[in-house]
Parts: sequence; structure tokens; C-alpha cells
Amino acid sequence: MPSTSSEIHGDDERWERLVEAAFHADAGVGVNGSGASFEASFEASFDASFDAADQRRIRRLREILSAMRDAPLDRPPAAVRIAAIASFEHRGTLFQRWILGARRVLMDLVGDDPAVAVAGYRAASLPVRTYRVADSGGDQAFEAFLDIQIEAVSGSATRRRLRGQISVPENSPAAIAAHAIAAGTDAPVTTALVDEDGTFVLDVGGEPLDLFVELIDGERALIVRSI
Amino acid sequence: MSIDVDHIDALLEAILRCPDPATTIASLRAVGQDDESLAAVIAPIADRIQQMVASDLGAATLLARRFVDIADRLAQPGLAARARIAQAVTLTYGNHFVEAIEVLADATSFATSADDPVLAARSQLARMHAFARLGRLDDAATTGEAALAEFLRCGQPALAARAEANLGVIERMRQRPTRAIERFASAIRAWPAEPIGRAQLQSNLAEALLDADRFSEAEGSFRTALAELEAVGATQAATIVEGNLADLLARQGRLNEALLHFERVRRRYTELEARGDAARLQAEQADAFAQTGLFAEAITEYRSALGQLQLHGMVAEAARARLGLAKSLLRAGRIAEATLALQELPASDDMPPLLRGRAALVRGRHAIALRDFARAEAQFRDAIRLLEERPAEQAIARHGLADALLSLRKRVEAEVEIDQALRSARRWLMRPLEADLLHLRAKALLAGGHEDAAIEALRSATMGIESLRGSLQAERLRSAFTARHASASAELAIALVRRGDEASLREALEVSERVRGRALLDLVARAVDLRDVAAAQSEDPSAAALLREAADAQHQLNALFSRLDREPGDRVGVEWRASVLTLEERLRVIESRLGATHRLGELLVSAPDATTMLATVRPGTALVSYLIADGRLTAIVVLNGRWVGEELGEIDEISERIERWRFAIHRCLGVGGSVGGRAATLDADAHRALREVCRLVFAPLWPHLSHASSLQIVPAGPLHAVPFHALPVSAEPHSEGIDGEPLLARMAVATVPSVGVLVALRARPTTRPTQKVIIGVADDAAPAITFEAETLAFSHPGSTLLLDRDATLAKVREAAGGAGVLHLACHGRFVAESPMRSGLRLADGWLTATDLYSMRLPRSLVILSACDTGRVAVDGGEELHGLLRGFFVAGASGVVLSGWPVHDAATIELMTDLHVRCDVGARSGVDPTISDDRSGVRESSVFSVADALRAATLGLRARRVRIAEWAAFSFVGDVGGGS
Repeated sequence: MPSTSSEIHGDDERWERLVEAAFHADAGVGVNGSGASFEASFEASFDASFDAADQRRIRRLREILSAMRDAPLDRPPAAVRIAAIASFEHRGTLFQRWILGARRVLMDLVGDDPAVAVAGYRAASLPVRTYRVADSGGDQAFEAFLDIQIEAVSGSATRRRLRGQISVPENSPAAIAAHAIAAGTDAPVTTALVDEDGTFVLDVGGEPLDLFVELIDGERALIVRSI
Repeated sequence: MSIDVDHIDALLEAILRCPDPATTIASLRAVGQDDESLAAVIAPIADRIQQMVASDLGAATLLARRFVDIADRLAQPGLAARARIAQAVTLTYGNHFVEAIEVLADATSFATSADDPVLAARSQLARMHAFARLGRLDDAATTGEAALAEFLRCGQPALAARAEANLGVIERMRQRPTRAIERFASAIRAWPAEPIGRAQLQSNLAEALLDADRFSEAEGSFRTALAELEAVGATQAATIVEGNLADLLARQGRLNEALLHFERVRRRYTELEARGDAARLQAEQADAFAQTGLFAEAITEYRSALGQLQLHGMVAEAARARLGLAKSLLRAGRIAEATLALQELPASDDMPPLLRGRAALVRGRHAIALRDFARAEAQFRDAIRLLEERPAEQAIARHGLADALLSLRKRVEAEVEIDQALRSARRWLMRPLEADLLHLRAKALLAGGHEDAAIEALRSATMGIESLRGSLQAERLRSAFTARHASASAELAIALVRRGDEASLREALEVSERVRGRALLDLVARAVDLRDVAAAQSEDPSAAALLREAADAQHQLNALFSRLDREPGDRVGVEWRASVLTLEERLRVIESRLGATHRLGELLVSAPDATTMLATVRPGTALVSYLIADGRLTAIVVLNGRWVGEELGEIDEISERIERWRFAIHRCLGVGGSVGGRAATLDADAHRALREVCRLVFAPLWPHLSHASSLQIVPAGPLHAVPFHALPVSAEPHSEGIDGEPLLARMAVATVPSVGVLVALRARPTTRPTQKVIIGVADDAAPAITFEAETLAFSHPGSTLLLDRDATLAKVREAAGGAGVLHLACHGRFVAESPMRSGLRLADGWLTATDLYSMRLPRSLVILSACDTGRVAVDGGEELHGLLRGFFVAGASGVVLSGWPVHDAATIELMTDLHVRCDVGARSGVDPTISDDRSGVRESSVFSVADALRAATLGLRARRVRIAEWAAFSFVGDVGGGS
């Protein structure tokens, strides 16, 4: 017997299935597919018919998913991210991981061409790398800089000391913690608190790592890949 | 008649096939041949059996037994004797010594019956071997002597030489090295023209010479043996001899030579596919690294050796290497890795007692590092028990135990252990341990509230360390030694600073100089390896001979002390002690004779006394000397005869603040030359970080310094990264405020690695060439370099300009030799992992700090217009490693260098101005900044490089406000020194 919209709404498990089905349907249709085929695919995979409210939710889901597929998954446009969080956060802990992903904002290396980075200096490389993110999708524009310096730890062939400083706009939420996480995973390797100046120090090994900086309001988490 | 090898092999085959001697004889006998003739034909089989023992003992044993049966059946006593000698050799090889002796007694009887005295003597010689293996050394010697006499009587010099050689071995086993040396020397003289045996005898002689502590002669013998074996292509034997030579050199502290031979031996073993032997040697090489304090290198070698040792089942060697690894990791402060290495040691029951004792010693140190003092106590007590036969190592364990007991507040028990260990240390002349124990005693006394007695104990400890240091050659050996024993001196200095009176502060300054960059001081004062110095003394043969003698004495002392770690206590006795004392006395005499001549007296460098130090500081110049002890930073200030000591704070906090400052200045670089916005924010952050550094390291001193006209600073530890000239100081003379102008606006500032280096720089000849050498190597990132170099060359007619492709390593090296001023504008880098590889990029490669060791500068002023040229790594004993070290060793009188990556455009502005001011100042002798209103510099009548840089920097600051741009360069050298 086909499922009803109330069943979908009233059941976290079903709602999760709905999201999952949306992902699959979206993947099957492709970014240029027609709305009808997406919904048909969705409906078929869920074996359900939806009322108007559900149809709106599904359309919203699809917009989110398409936008996330267009952009790098780590860095959905702010509007999409905000819409996604609004759609899912009231659903409780089931979607925490998904929300966390949606809140992650990938930072860009400033001057990622080494020749440009050292232009004007009598050095082969500079000791600090600067990352930047500018995000205008929220209530107010957000621009942050993250400076990172990685140096060998004296007496160790493999240990490195990562010193960082995050600069956020004056009225923006401050950073509270920095986590070194095993590259491409969510597994934290080590964590440090960020002080009032935005600085932190992490002692890490030689393994590939990503850096994850948490802001106090939980709206955003800044990510630096492959530090 | 003679028979060829193939024939013998056929005979052996026949004997092996048939157990019955009668049948064998029948098959061997030719038609009509009698027993005597047959015996003559088969006699060479005996020699062949002896040759086989090494390759196939089982077959040799069987053949020997059957050959004896055949000889007995033929009833030919000569053959019976030869067969029994062969059988005895197989029995000795199979460890059946008693049986062998009995068989050889029969052999002698048969030989006598055969009226063959040479054969009887050969039988005696074989008997000597068996006696020796049984440990019946007196019997062995008697038997060998009899054989020797018989060979000589019978006119058999080759056999007599063999007997002499064997007797030499016996004498070594009887611990009579002098007799052994005579035997081997005699054997070598009579040895036939057979190079391999002769070379092996040379090697035996070398080992006997080592036993007698005659190291130079031992080295000569090893080298002779090596050359002879290499000449005949006996690769394997040569490899063994070269390994022994490398070990000898390492024991003498001649690390560079030792490493060369270790490496050659390793390659040979690898070529021979003897990977186990190669790994064993690699572990020995690691021991040599560790002994000289090169722990990082030792760790790498141990790790590499361990895999192969395990692969080849060399369990004992692997355990020894793992222990060495753990010890080196502990020394390097890599505690977690040391824990793992110790966990991987075999179970205690699987190790011999000596190794167990040594493992307990290392585990005790490990427990101390983890602050688990109760476990440390237990481990050290175990070590003391297990190292009963090694008094030197036992004394070290007692030192560890006392250390643990003190931390457990068992002061009385600790003092008992210290006293006991001190007795051993003094008996075995273990001066470093004695100093460490006195240091520990001082801690115990301090814990008991006896401050004056503690200071006395620390004085004794530091004097002991200082006197021993002179007997160590090789830069790294000396610096490692000083670093390991620096804390006693630093603690004494702090205790004296706390007393606060002038006499104590003077002594504190002297004591702190003893542990500050002493190896660099030696190099700056040209006190390098005495052999090198001797080689350079061609115009004064008598001085060269004295220096060579001093070098030999140093090497022998090192080797003698190395025996304490290698041999049981009973082997290191009265003679050893007498040898050490004799050598030490000889060194003292040589030192005094060298000191009698003015020039050579500089070769053996002592830390300067306070009077000499003060004589280098000009009136109006303040001297600030920082020191670190017990985790705290302290400073001694001297200005116009007034002495002040200040305790400043925890070094960990200061270090973190300095790191924050470094990070802050590095952040400023990312925004290039832009101003406003983020650039302004970052600049403000950098200023804030520097103010924090100033608050901790300088502000408390400022009230004592504000009236100085210039400032000579001796930094310590992390303070080498502080740009003192840029520290913000209060305009109020007695205020500790940190919100004012940079220090540079008030006075000229220069740093120096130590006051001793300053004294040595002053002692160098006062004249230098007037030639300017300007080097410029530009690229797309830093195009202004070309303009800078061309501008400077244009402004200084007659200067030498090497630009871009012309600025090769060879040309720069050649031109620098005549440079009064050497200006290098190029890319620079600091290599944190290996600071002596830090360098300056020339046209065809990097000119590294190590390369500079072989360059000679004529007291040049060096200006390094490149990035990061002033960064240094600070090792124990305040040894600085980086370009700064290289240039001072090369002969620079002062160096202008950068603390961080420098901006191309800002640098050209500073450098052109600096050169103008230096030139004007040098011509007039007057500070050229007097009329410079913008700089705000106070009038000064005496010109110096530091003054010129100060004026140029303040000029730049007036145009470029960002600290990253104007404050990058500082001067290291004499703050009052002119260009």
C-alpha cells in the first residue's frame, strides 16, 4: 500500500528515506533532467504519492541537491546551505552529520601559485599560507582569513607544529576550536582551543590532514584541505 | 713424489667410500708399490683434511679418523704422526680439546720415532691451540715455546714465524700485550713472502697495540694491513680490518675519519652481499654518532640497521642496537619513541646480564624522563646489581639512582649514593660523571638549605667540566659535551645572580660564558682540530710538532676513556689510570709551551674572564647577557661599571611569546607591500606581539639601560629570534613602559653569540682589504636585486661585481677572499631540519653554511641582503647553527642579516643607504647621521656599522611604516666596530 505524506512527515526514519531517495533520484536524472522525471523517479522509488506541501518540500530538496552537485560538495552556495539547514535541523539528531557537512565552508588558498606568493620577496617560499573565505549568503556578509604556519618540531623527523590564526569580521562569531582531522574523514587527530586573538597551536604528525575550525555560533565550520 | 690436487681429491673419495682401511689400502696401492712409497703418496692428505675443517667439519672428521687407521695399518710412524695432527685439528675445531691433546701426544711420539723433529714440533704447535682453547694458557705458552725452539733449531723460519704468531695470540689472551707485540713483530719479520698471512699478522699486531693503549701505532698497523690486503684483492679480510680501524678512530673521537671508513666497510659488505655484517657495522657507526652527541644521526642509523639485524637473526646485535636507539631517543628528548624502542627489547631472561644491566640503566633514565621516580629507583637498583663487574657503568647507575632518590625527597639516601659513585668516578677518572655528581650534590645541598655549600659544589663541577673540555677535539664532540653538562654552569650562574653583589655577578658572567657557544668560539679563534692546525704551521716546525703531539694525546685520552664503556672493570686497572694521568700531564705541558708564544696561545681557547670581557665594552655601551637555567630567563647588565642582575620569567612562556611574534611577522608577508585594511591589521598584530616579547625580556632592564649610548646584547635560546632593535621602549628613562619608539631610535644595537666571540673578533688583525665585493643573483620574484647590485657597484668604483650568471660558487669563493666588504644580494633560505644547509642562492647552486667553513674571509664586513639569513637553530650549550655560524667561522668581523623573508623593494632602499653611510663614516670616522633630521638619531662622534645600520633603518622606517619592511635587518658583531 502506498505511503501517505503524513506518514513521511511523522516518521524520522521515513523522512531520512525521503532524503536518501531524493539523492538517488537526483543522481539518476542528472543535473539537466526535467523536473517531471525527477519527481517521477522519486515517487517511483518511494512508492508514494505526495500532497502539495510534500511536493514543495521535494522541490526544495531537489534544488538543494542540484546546487550542491553543481558546486564542490564542501562548499555549497550560502543560500543552498542555509536552506538545507533550515529544512533539516528541526528533524533532530538523525541529520546532524548531514547538517554538519552542509555547514562546512571550504577556504581558498590566497596566492596558490607559488611564484605569485613569493613575488617581491627574496625567498623560495613564505612561511605562512593564507586562506580566505567570503560568504554573502547569510544575514550579513562574512569574510574570514586563516593564516597557517607549519614548522618541523625540533628533534623529530615527523612531528610538525601548526600555528594558526583566524581573523573574522568584528561582529561575526569567533572561532572556538581547531581540529586536525585525518584527510578526507571526520576523524579528529588532535584539537586545540582558539584563544581570544584567534590563534591556536596543533602538534601533528606527518600524515595527511585537513583542518577544521569551529565558530562559536555553529553556523559555519571552516575547512582547509590538505594542510 | 708430488701429487696434484685432483689426485688428492680422488684419494679422499676413495677413503670416504670405504670404511675398511685394508680395502682402502689395497685400492690405493699401485702394482708393486711398498708401504713406505704408498705412505709418501698419501701423506699430503693430512694437509688437505686440515684445510677442509672450515668448510666441511663432518667430512674432515670422518676422513681424519679413517686416515689414522690407514696410517696405523701401514705402520709408518711419520704418516701416523701426520694423520694424528690432522685428526687433532678436526677435534679442536669440534671443541673436543682434551681428546685432541691426547691425540697430539701420540703424534709427537710417532714423529719422534720417525726421527722427524719438525713434524714433532708441528704436533706441539697444534697442541698449543688445544691448550689455549681449554684456557690452559701457561701450558699453551710452554708447548708453543718448545715448538718454536725446535723450528729454529731445525732451520724452519716460516714455521718458526707461525709459532711466534700463535704465541702472540696466547700472550694477548694472557693479557700481556707487550709480550704479544714482540711476538707479532718478530713473526712479521720472519714471515715468508705471503701477503695475506702477513697482513693478518699486522692486524693481530694492531689489536695487541690497542691492548697496550698504543693507539697511534695500532692505527699504523691497521692501515698497513689494510693496504696489503687491498693490494692482493683480499676483500673480505680487508673489510674486517677496515671495520676495526673505523672503530679505533671512533674511540679516539676522530669522527669524520671514522665515518669515512665505516661507510667504505658498509659498501664492501653490501657488495659482498654480507648484509648482516653491514648492519652490524651500521649499528657500530650509530654508536659512534651517539658517543659524540649526534643523536639524530645515530637514531637514523640504528633504525636502518635494526631491520637487517632482525632479518638475519642477529638477536644479540639487534638487542644492543635497540638499546642504543632507546638511549639516543631519550637523549634527543623523543620520549614516546624511546618508550616504543624499550618495549621492543627482548625479555630480560633472553639477554645476557651485561645487556640486562644496561637496559635497566636506560629504563631508569626513561622513568626519570616520565617523572616516574619510584620506577626509576627500582630500575637503577637493578642496574647496579647487574653491572657488578663494570664499575664505570655502575657508578653511572648510582648517579641515576641518586637523581631519582632526590626527586623522591630521600635526600640522605641520595647523598650516600652520590658519595659512593663519586669514589668510583674519581678512581676511574670519570671526570664528566664526577662533574655530574657534584652537580647532583649541589641540588641535594640546595634541597637541604645549604646555599653556599651548593655554590661550592657547582663551582667544582663546572671547573671539572671546563678542564676536561680541553682534551676533546672535534667541534661536534666539544659542543655535545658542553651541552650535556651545561646545566651545572647555568645553575651556578643563576645562584650567583641571586646573590646580587658585583663580585657574584662578575663570576656569573664568567660562568655563563663557559657554556655559551664554546665550539663556535673555538672556531672563531681558529682552535679547530689540532692536527689541522699543525698541518698549517709549516713555517714553524717546532710548533707543528707540539701540536701534533697534543692532538695525539687528545686522541689517546678519548680512546682510553672509551674503554670504560667496553671492558670489565678488572681490565681497566692501575696501568690505565697511570696512562690517563700521564697523558693529561703531557697535555698540560704542551699547552703551557704553546701558550708561551703569543700567537699559538690563542689556539687553546678559554672562556674569557670578566676583566677581559669588560675591556671589550666601550664606555657608554651597555652589555646585556641573557642566560637560561632551571627553566627561567635571567639577565646580567653592565653599564659604566655598574652591575645589575634581573630574573625575568619562565622561559616556556617567553619562548611561546617569541614564537607568536615570529608568526605575527610572517603573517605580515602575505599581503606584500600593500598598506591599509588587512595589511594594517596584521602590522598592528605584529606590534602587539612584539610588545608582549618586550614586556617579558627587555622592559624590566630598560631602567638600567636608558642612559646607554649603545647596546651590546648576548641573547640566549629563543631570544636569538628577537629583533632587539625594534623593541618598543618608553621615552621615560626609569619606566618599564612598552609603548614608545623602537629601541633603535634611542641607541645603536648589536647582538653577538657570546662575549667570548666578541673578544676573539677584537683580537683579530685590525686591518682588512678596502675592496668591496658585490654579488647579485636576481630572478623574476626579486628583480630589484640586479638594480641593487649595479647601483652599489656604480657607487663604489673599483668594487668587484659578480652578477647573475657570473656569480658562481667558485667565483664568489675566490672573490670573497679579498673582500673588505662582502655584499650578497640574492635569495636566502633557512633549513630548519638541517640548519647548516641554510644558504644563499648563487648562479649554480646554494652557498651553504657548511660551505663557509672552507672559505676564508679577511675580517670582512658581510652584508646578507637576502631572506632569513639571520635565523639560527640553537642547540645545547648555546651553539648557533645557520649562516651566521658559517660566516663567523669563515672570518667575518660582523654580519648584517635578516630575521625573516625580506621585501625586495624595501631592501634595496635600506642597502643603498647603508652603504653610503658606511662609506661616509669610514672616511670621516664620524657618524654620518648627525645631520639627518628625519631619523631623529642622536649625535654620536664615533662611527660604527651598527650606527650606520641604525640610521639607514630609521630612514627606511620614515618611508615604510610596516615593521615587516623596516625592521628586518640587524647587525651581529661589535656594536662599536667600524666598517
